[in-house]
Amino acid sequence: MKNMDDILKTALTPKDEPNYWLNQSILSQAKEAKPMKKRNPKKFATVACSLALALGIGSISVYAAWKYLTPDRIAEEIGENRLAEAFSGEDSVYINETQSCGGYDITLLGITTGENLTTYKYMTGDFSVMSASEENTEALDQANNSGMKEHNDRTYVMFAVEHEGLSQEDFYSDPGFTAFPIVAGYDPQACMSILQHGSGEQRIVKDGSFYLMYECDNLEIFADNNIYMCISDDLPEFSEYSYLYDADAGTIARNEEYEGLNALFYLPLDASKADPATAQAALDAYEARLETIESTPEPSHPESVQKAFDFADQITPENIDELATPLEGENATMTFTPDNQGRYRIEITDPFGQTTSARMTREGLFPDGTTEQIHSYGISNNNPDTLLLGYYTLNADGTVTLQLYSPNLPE
Amino acid sequence: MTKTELENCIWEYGTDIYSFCRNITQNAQEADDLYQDTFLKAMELLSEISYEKNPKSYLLSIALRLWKNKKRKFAWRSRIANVISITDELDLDIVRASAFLPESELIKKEETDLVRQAVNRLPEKYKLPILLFYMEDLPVAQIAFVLKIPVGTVKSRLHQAKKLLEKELEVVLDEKYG
Repeated sequence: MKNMDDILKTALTPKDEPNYWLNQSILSQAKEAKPMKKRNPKKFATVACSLALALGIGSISVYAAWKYLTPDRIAEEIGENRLAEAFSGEDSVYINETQSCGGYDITLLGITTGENLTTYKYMTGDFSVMSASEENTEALDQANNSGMKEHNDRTYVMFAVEHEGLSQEDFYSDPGFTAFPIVAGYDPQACMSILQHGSGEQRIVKDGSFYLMYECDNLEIFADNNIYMCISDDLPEFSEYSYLYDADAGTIARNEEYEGLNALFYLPLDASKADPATAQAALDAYEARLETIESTPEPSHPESVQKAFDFADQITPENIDELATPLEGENATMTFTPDNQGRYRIEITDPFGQTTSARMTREGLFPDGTTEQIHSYGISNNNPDTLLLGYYTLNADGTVTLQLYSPNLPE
Repeated sequence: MTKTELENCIWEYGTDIYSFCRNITQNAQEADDLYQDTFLKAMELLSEISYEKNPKSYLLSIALRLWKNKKRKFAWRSRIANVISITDELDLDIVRASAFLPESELIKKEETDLVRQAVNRLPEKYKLPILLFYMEDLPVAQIAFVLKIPVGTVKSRLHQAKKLLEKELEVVLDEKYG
């Protein structure tokens, strides 16, 4: 028989790992606790090694990844040397946490915050956003003179992205997902509006690895709340299908039922840097902007466009073959299968090269229990001829067939 | 200890503390609750815990104290109401997990399971020193601190526990693996 010490040591080696969200729950409660008498001068330096634990939770797995470039090296590759220096500094947080969902492996590599860290400037007005190289003084002066606001104090979040079907071209042009921060305790729509306004992304492929740098206004001002970065392929990006938001408790979680990409990373930002007054000012500005939008009348369409919409409104499944012509070709007829939550991912590429994407519920596609429905799509460049109609049919097996039509507009 | 250091403890010792919770509670839900309560209690006691002086022992002692308190409350409730006893899910998990392992791994796992089950059947006064020594890798002096018993008592309980385990496992392990 083997030595009893060896047997016990082998058999009793700790193997039970706490659920990732159990740890997150503790950390979130730790954040709500009273401030400590002293703070760790090393800040979050040791967080870097923290997630070396392999943690499994439901459909998502979280583990450490060391195969990627470090955030400072990625910043160098992007050509942002000041940012690279910042990522090497003490105020940065290296995370190295990978979440696997929807066929993606998303790794949150690190975060840093600071002023004027990149060579690009973001400017925003109430309803407009522009970015320009800091050398493009003409454009920047013009934006300044038009009352746009410069955003210099920024948070930068570095990710690595892996997906078997994601080509380098698609990654650069349209990766099919969106990164955005959410602050617990704030309405997600308000958060997205405040923080996405003037946010930016840079993508780079190096040695076969895909890197995404997300930047937005300083997130640390909200750091007295839990702050998360989401990466989602849902449409809209933040919905009850992909994330569970409890408005009363102010908590956010992934919806485990969602089969697509709905990564949710907790950002360990320094709570001592929170600036509730500035955060409140951002929220006030958002609400003011919302009021302005709501009180601004919808722009009227040119007469020809309005006539086209009015014509489309009278088209029904019964008369569509008289009033419209079915399109032909590979994208003209499509069948959509519902996902596990009963939604259909509708993606239409029209003959003019415009792509429209949405995730629709059955009720959204077929209101009032109908099984056939016409939906009309927008008009490009005020040209009525670009108006398209979608004739949706709900099949007995739960799939949905779409046939695109072009309305026979009267001369 | 600062809150950041406590956060680091979660990452550094999370598996150790959770494994301990799982083994003393024998129940996943109870283990989750105990693990969370341990760190939340530790947050209240931050000023008492020193990050430099082995916080793992403190965390284990907190977990043990909380579990003993809970057991006492549970026993009290059981007396006044017919409370359903806590389900032992640990063995069930082991059976489920075994279904997916290759044969060589299965043999190792069977041995591990037999040993773990034997440890779980030990009286608590023997089981706890064994878990703290072999699972948590604590030196005898720290086990004494966690269990609030003299060092000599820890040593004798470890000795007794090993004797009991040798007796129980001798037949099974000799039979199976020679």
